Formats: sequence, C-alpha cells, structure tokens
Amino acid sequence: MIIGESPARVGALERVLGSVRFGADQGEQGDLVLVCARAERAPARIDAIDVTRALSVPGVVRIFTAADIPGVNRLGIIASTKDQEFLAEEYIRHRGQAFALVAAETEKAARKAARLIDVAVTELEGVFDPREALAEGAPLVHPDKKSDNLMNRRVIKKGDVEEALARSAVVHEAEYTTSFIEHAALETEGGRAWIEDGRLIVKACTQNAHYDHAELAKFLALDPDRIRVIQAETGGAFGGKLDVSVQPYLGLAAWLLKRPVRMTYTREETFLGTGKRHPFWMRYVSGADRDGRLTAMKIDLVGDTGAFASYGMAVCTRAAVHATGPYFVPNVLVDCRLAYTNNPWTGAMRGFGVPQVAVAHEGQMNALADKLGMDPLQFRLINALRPRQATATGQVLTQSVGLVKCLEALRPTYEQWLSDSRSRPGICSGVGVGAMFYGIGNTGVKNPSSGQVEWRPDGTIILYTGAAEIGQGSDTALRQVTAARLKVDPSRITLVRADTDLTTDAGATSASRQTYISGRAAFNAAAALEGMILAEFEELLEADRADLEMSDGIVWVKGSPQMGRPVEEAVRRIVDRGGVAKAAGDFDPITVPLHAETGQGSPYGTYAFAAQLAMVEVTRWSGNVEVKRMAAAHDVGRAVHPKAVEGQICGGVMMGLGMALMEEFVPGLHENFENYHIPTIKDMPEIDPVIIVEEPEETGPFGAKGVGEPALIPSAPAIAGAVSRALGRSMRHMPMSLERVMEAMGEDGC
Amino acid sequence: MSRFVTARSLDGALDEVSHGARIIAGGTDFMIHVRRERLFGDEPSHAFVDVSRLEELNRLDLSSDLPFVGAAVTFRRLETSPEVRSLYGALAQCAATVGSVQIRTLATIGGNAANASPAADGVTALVALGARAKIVSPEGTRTERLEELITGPNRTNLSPEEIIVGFELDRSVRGTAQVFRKIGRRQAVVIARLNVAVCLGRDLSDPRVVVGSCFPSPRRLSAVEALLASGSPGPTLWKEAGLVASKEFVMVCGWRASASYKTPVTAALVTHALESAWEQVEVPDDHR
Amino acid sequence: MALSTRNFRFFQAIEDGHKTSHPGQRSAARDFEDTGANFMNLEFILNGRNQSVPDVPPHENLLHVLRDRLGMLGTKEGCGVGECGACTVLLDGEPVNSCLTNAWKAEGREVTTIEGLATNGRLHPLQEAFVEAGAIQCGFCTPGMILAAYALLKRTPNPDDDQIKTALEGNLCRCTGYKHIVEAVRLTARKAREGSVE
Repeated sequence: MIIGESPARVGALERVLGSVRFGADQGEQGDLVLVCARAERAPARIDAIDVTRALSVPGVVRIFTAADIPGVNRLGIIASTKDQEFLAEEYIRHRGQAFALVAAETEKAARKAARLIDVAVTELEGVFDPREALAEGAPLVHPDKKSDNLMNRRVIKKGDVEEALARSAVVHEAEYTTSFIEHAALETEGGRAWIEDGRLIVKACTQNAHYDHAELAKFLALDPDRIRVIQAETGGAFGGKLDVSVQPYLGLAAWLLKRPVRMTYTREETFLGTGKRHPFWMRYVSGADRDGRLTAMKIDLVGDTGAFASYGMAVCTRAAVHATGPYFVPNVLVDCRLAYTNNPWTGAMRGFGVPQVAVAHEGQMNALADKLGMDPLQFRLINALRPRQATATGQVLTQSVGLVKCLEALRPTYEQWLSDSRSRPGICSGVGVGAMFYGIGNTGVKNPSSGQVEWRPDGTIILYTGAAEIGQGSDTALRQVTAARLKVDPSRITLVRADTDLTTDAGATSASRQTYISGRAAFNAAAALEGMILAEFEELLEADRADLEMSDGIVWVKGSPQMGRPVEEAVRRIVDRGGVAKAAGDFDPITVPLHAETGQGSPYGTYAFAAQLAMVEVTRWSGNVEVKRMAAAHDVGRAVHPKAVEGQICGGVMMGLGMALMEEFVPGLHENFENYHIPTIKDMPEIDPVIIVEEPEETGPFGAKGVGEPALIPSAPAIAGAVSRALGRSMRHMPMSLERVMEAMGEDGC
Repeated sequence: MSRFVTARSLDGALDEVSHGARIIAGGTDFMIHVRRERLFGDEPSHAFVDVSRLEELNRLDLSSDLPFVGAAVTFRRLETSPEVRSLYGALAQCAATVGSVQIRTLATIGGNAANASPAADGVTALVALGARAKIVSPEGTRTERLEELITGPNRTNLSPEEIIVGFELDRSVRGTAQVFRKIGRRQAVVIARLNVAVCLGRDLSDPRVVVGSCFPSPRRLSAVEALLASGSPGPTLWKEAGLVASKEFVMVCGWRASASYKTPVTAALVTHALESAWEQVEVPDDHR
Repeated sequence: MALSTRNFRFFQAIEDGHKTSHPGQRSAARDFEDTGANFMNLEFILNGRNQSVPDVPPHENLLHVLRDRLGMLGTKEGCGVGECGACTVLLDGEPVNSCLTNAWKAEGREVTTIEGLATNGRLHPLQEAFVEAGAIQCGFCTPGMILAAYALLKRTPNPDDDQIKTALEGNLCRCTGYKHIVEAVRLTARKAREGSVE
C-alpha cells in the first residue's frame, strides 16, 4: 500500500537542515541588486520621472521605467483582462505601485537611489469603495481604457426566486462583509536571473513556472525558446505567488544589462506590491419551507478588485457559483460584480472568493435554522447536496458527494460540545458549524495538466512535472501516485519539477487541482510507461500482455513470480533501439462552460466537501474571542498522504481563524506583521478530531480530489456561528475584532 | 563617528554618550528604527554604546531596603525570576506578556521605559510599583518618578547624555497582591490595546491602579486609588473603581474614535484586575 | 565569556560611495554589502567554530552578517522586525531574533544556527521529529521553529503544552496550523525520556 501511507515528505530533510534555497535565498556574489521605486500616493497622473539624482548614487548601474520594457507592459493571468502595468506608464493607480526599477551594485545603493527618483505627479480624485466605484459618475480607475469601473459580472439564474421566496415559510435577509487579507506566506518574493548561452534564465519562487515563462516572453518581446524559468523552492504562497512578482523585474534587468541580478522583497514590499484577498459585500435573501428545506436564495455580491484585474474574473465566477453553499436550492439568483478601485489590487487567495461567500451562506443557514427552531447541524443535513441533485449552475452530481458523511461524522463531537459548552460569569460560550463545497480546478474552462515518467537503464525512475510545490505537498503526492501506479517504492522516484526546459505545462498550483489533475496526469503517464515496458516483455517472455505482472521493478508471467525479470531489461532494449523509456500522460477534467447569461453549466470535474465545528469563549467585558476547540471532516475523495491532508486542514483552520478574528489589511496602515496579525501558536485551539472522509472520485488518481482550499473555507463560518451563538447576535462582519464583538453585545453584554 | 562600543563601565558609557553616542540596551526597538532608516537608503552615522552588559544596570535586588531593578534586566529574567514573581508579581506578569521569548531574551525594562511607548507593558507595571528612575549623566545623578520622566508618546525628558541605571521600587507594595492584565488583538505577541496593573494590600491603605495604552503618558489613577483607600473591599467597590477609571480616561483623552471601545473596557478591566487581586489577598497564592 | 577589549574609537565613519575591497575576505554566497569603510573584525563562535567577519558596520544586525556576509542562508528573514521568528538563532543558547540583534552583541559569544544542529552527519532528534511528525510544509519557518524548540528542551526537557506554546509563540507558521509542530516537540521530549529509561 502506497496510497494512504504518510512517508517523509520530499524535501523535508533539506528543510530541517536549513540547506534548502528558497527564492528569497537566491543570489551570488557580484549580482546586481534590484529595488522598485513605489508610489506613495494614488491615484495620480505621472507628469515626469527624473532619475538624475538617483543615477548619481555610486553603484547605481541603471534605472528602468516603463519606456524600457521591450514588450507588452500588461500582465495578468486571464487573457481577456491583462491590465497590470509592471512599471506604471501614465497613471499611478494604487499606493505602492512600482514606477521605476533600480539596478545597483549593492542593496544599499539601490534603496537609496529608489528614494531619490523624482516623480512629478498630478494627484487625481480616487475611489476606494467598490460600491461607490460602481455608481454613476464615480472617478475612473482606468480612464485611459474603460468608461466604467465594472471589472467583471457573473449572473447565475435558476428557477424563479421571487415566486419561491413569496411562498417560503421563513425568509431571512442580511448583509455580510469581509476584509482585505494578506497571504502572509513566510517567504517574501525573491529570485535571481542571469544569461546563459544567450538565453535568459529566471529562477524565482512561483506557483506556476510555465505561466511565468509565457508572461516573460510577452513582457520582453522574446522568443519563448530563449527563456527558461525554474521554480525556486517556494516558502508558502496561498495564491500570492500565482501572479508574477519579481520575475518581470528580474527578466527585464538581466536581459537588458546582460548581468546576473537578484531581487527579494522586504515584507513591506510584499504588503505593498502583491495582491490581497478580495473584500466582499454580500446581501442575501434566503428562504425555506416549514420542513426546513431551502426554497430560494437571492444573492447580491460586490467585490473589490482594486487597481488591477489579476484573478478577479475567476474570483467573480467562483464566488457566484459557490454562493449558495453546498446545498440543494431549487431557485437561485446570484448577481456578482467586481469593481475596480484605487485600492491595492486583489487577486488569487486560497479559496478564490469562496471563503467570503461561505461567511454569508453559513450565516444565513444559522439564521434560518433559528427561525425554524431547528438545530443548525440538522438543518444543514436536510439541505446538504446529495448524489443526483443539481447545484445552482444545474450541474448534477453523480458521485463523490461526501457532505452528508462529513456532517454525520462530526455529529457526536457536535453533541458532546453542545453539552460541554457552558457560559459562566463573564464568559459566553458557543458552538458553531460551517459547511462548504468547492469545485476542484479552474471554473468551466480548459484546465489540462501533463507529466512524464521515465525509467532509466540504471534503474532510476524520474517523474517530470510542471506542478509547483509550494509547501502543500504535491511533490510527495505526485511521487506516491506515480509509485503506486508503477508498484514501486516511492523513494525510487526522483522528481524533475517546474523547469520550463525540462517539464511541460501542468497548470497552476491553484484551485486545489494538483493532486486531482496533475496527479491523474502522472497516473496516466505511469500507466503508459508500464504499457511500454510490458510491450517489451511480451516479446522477451513470449507471453500475452494480459498474463504479465509488474511490481517492484520485476515483470513476470502470472503464476511464475520466481521467473521474474527486471524492468531494466526492457528499458535497455528500448534504449538500444535509440529510444527512451519515457511516457507522457495528461488529464483535463470534462467541464461545461457557464452560460453567459444564466450561468448554467458544469464548471468542475469534481467537488470537495467539508464541515467544521468551532467552540468559542467570548469574554463579555473585553470582546476577546478565544477559540477553544475545532473539529473538521473533509471529503477528499482519497487521502494520498493522510498526514499531509491533516496538515493542510489544520493550516486551513488557522487561516480561517485569522480571517474570522484578526486579519484585516487596511491600505496605508498595514505594511508588516507588527500590526497585521496572523494567528500565533497560542491562538490555535486543539483541532480534534480531524476526520478524513473518502468518497472516491472516479476520475481522480486512486479516487483523490483536493483539499488545499477546502481546508480554510468552513473555518471562519464555524467560528462566526459559534460567536453568534455565544452572544445571541449574528456576527456578519469579518474579522470579529474586539470592537465589533463589544458593539454586537451592546450595552447589556450578552 | 560611527562605531559600536560595548560599555565596560558606567563612566566609559557616560564618556561615549557625552561624545554623541546613542544608547542601545536590548536594541529590539532601536534596530527597527535602524532598519527603517536603511530601507530609505540612509545609513546611521552615529556611534552606539551598548549598556546592556554593565553590572549596575543588571542588578536585581528586590529584597533590600531600597528595592531596585536594573535598567538592563531583560523581560525574560523578570518573567522567570522566582524573586520577582513573589515580591513584585505585576512585573513578572507583565514581562511574560511582552513580545515573544526571543524578544524578551533581548529586550530590557529600561529600554521599554526609555522608548516610552504609550502601550509599553513594562511602564504600566513599573508606575504601579512606584518606580523612580535612577538616571546618571556626566553632570551627576538624578532620580525621577517614571510617570514624570515620560512626557508623552515616545517622549521623555531624558537628555541625550543621560543613562537610566535602573528603577527604585516602593518597598510598601512589596509582596502585596498584584495583577497585570492585557487586552490585545490576539492571544500572544501583541501590543496592548489596553493594559492594567494593580496592587492591593490587605488594608487597602496604599492601593495602586495604572492603566496603559490609554493615556499619552503613564499615570497612576489617583481618583481611583483614593476611592479604594477609603472604601470597603467588595464587588461594589471594584465596580465603582472601574467607572471612576473610565471617567478619568474620558476626561484626559476626550471622546475619540477608540473611546467607544476603550471607555467601557477600561472600567471592566480595572474592576476585573481588582477582583483578581483581592482574591489573592484573601487566598494568597501559596495557600491555594 | 571574554569580551573584546579593542578600542573602536579609531575607526572611520561610513562614507557613501567610498569603496574598499577586502581581498582577505571569506568567500560567501551573498557578500553583497560593500561597507565602504574600515570597521573592525567581528569575532564570535559560530556553531562551535571561531568566526571572524571583517568590517562589520556598527548598526549591522546579526541576520545580515549570517546571511550576506557568511552565506549562512539557513537563517531566514520573514519580516525584519522581530514579529515572525524565521530568523531565530541562539545567542549563548538563548533564542533571539537575529534581525533585531545588533551583530556586535554577538562579539565573543556563541551563536548557533540551524546549520549547527546536526552533528557528525546525524540529525538532531528535533530535526528527526519534525520530519517524522509532518511538522514541515513549506519549510520556511522550520529553522527558526526548530531552534526555538531546541532552546526550550535544553531548559525544560519535559515541557507541557503551555510551555511548548510559549516557547514557540514568537515563531509564525502560515502552513501547518502548528498542530504537527507541537507534536514534533512532544515526540522529541518523549523519545529523550524513553531513551534515558533504557
């Protein structure tokens, strides 16, 4: 058994020894150092940039502005919304936007020069609230390109919402909000670029080396064959390293100066220069019948994409698709709009809009359950999606639908906690539940991955994958899947990963897709390699393919394992003919794109399901919320590496706890961990039990789906539910800061 | 002249500061300032004199007639010293909430006072304990109450040539029931949204109540202390004391945005700290 | 611990742009900062060996000496302001944020970094336990986390969970939710106990 075991992770040894080199550790003696000059005020029109003073700083080699970019200065993952200027041209659209890049012999000189660049600007009127931005006459964020601030809109229509609400026994209407959130990966962005044999090599932390490669080719107007991108070991990302960060700067300077360069963001630059989680404003009207069945949801969503689109379109669509939560709702109307503002840009972050809507849909579930006098867990069980039911987009789920199992698995813990939870003088206690579903992979668009497996004559096995390991464990999981399919010990397999010269596109490490999609591609590659090897043995052993067995690198005819022959015999035959024992595999889950007007379609190959519980204690007189316990049940299809799955779940709970209680990025105020707080070890409760539910997904490798983002999604809703229960007031605005909790309690306390 | 000097004697340190050196103790606040300057491309040009290894500044003598805590005593030492815990509990309790173990290992009580952040946990505890800063300069020695030494947010009346040697603490509050409490935005490594230190003796004759992260400069809440000294111990008195504390906050600071949170919570924080302290008076730790 | 008795008075101030080369300098992976002045050699014990670093400016922090002057890249910079603990090293056995530690505070003292934990090619039991317990995800916080735990176990060989959490409160991890990290520390302590019983 290889699948379901938890061997030591790939790269763990180098990490405990401290010998691993992350993107932020790249650089060699003599490299030039790059530093961006960033705008302090926005929005503004750039009148002139004068680098005279900056160039006089000893050690400064060159200062680049937008005019120096040889190619297209419009970056962004989604082809139709590429709008990010990596060095500002005419407009500064958000505070912290880079407008010049300094290359110098030392970091000191580079920083000094960056401060001495004189930029003359005309300040403009800005807009900082997404709903104001959508109003008539609002200042335009892209006056040079767009006549309004609407970045994207997604509507989902199913049934007749108004009629169903009118017929409902109970209806609940409420508004919810969430905040900007910083990814706060412990490693800041960093990397190095140099020229080798006339080609540009960029090695940086990233979630998608192959995307970076394509982007660099456009940015530098270079033949893609002249660029190689290598993923440096990446110290956490959570969506924050999906967009390019230092890569364009590194590429630009190295290519134009023909010298090695390095660049590592300070934590402040990470706060200023990379995307955030979209804040959402959400208005929900939800109805249910007397038996507790959901009848309709009418949902209005507005998100803030900040100054640039980035992943906004994906967030817009994903938020809309998941807005109902993991429930069967016969009548749905979702209108989701993302607006440009002059705030820092927002982009991909673990969950792509779903953690935001989960706060709202779970708040609604609690409120409806209260109105019906039902237990919140029972109410969720009644409405949980089941096989053969349709989602809001009309996708009928046929298999691997594990929400009921998750909720049932948590029920004993839930009942125990309800009886354990007692308010006492000064302390209010409460238990909450949160549930979610999450489509694995990109939404209703092509979403392929590919990989190759090679068996060498010396017996080494190599897995080539473009999938970026960012701490989530894909190296380990993909190796296990490959090993399990080839029936060899995983330690025999070496990885070649995320290097555009050596690997093929596996798509981004995002959307919880690598185990499912790249895992399936690796599985298929291993299967093809096995076929190739067995074809040789058909001749060598004069046996039918169907009679051959292969395990531990030995092939034999069924019934005669003692007559086994090493796989390398077949490999050498292939090599002797001038070939390579290397096979490719790919996978692209079947999806049906969403209809432009109704949003109907089957956007994902499979969905993950999960539920979590939280028990909290609120100090009445201070508003302090302490999460005492959490429990989680996740349907992951099949846990390839259960310890890694548990690690992802606990990490997700931590991020959800941060979102619920403390994380709120305020532009201009938060630039480092001094005042932007993420949970410490003392903020974390015991997370027990962590239950892995396995409802196998037939298209996944050995039944696996994904867990990276689902881990976080139910946490904040469960905590919000618990606090609401403790206070007897519904908590609808995240984070639930000291002030918000005190305000909710009002004069009388709780 | 930019140099780093580890002072070996107080006289040597005074000589350095009289030539323009800046004083560094644990350096945890100072190095953040240095980093900020460097991010802006400026290199500090002044000299540094490290006073953290001076014997006098590391003296911790709480049992004598003149209880004294040296300015270079680290929070880690205050947190872990059994003597501090038993004699000046508020100091040990406050030390345990400052930053992380890594910070507490470096950061000193004197540095905390000299940096004079309105949220400084050490200052709140020291003021409650009646701390008088012992200050030396080339001109001589002076002693000043900490609440007078600190004149506003990150401001003191220290001249650049003065070094805080340490703090004399009131003998009268030694061994009294002491409580330090802090409210922050997370459960650890956090700046105080509010903090409080209280000392209560059995006869309430010399009560101490200090609330921090609240006023521009630290202060003992004299109206609260007067109320306590004249009242009879019990829930009513603790509650009333809290209300008087919050009134003082509003009176001094006016009604700002943060006041809608801080006003009721200051009242409650003081009440709860007094309750806890009184529990200690009635059931001392060693009898629990 | 012997302190340096050198008189630093006679060394020059920084002058921007004035460059000197240091031919005798130890070759390092990322020796980028040209200090531009003649500062003194900083001498300390690094992972048990005497270490001398030429021309260390008076305001330099220990983190940059380790990373940029000595190429010891196992010590990470996560925030630069003492909030994340990724740069944790041991100074005379006690954990400090090397980003907040003026390098000159290490003069004559012992500094331990993650590179100094494994001895004779053998992992320290904490390093083994971090691998075994699954306490590593991206691994960026790992060196600081292990060193903070190491300092705890030296002082408190059988810590309870509260003591573990206090020891690690200054080390942020964004990946794991800390659960497996606590388990790794518990596991190390348990193995040490069982080992000593044998």
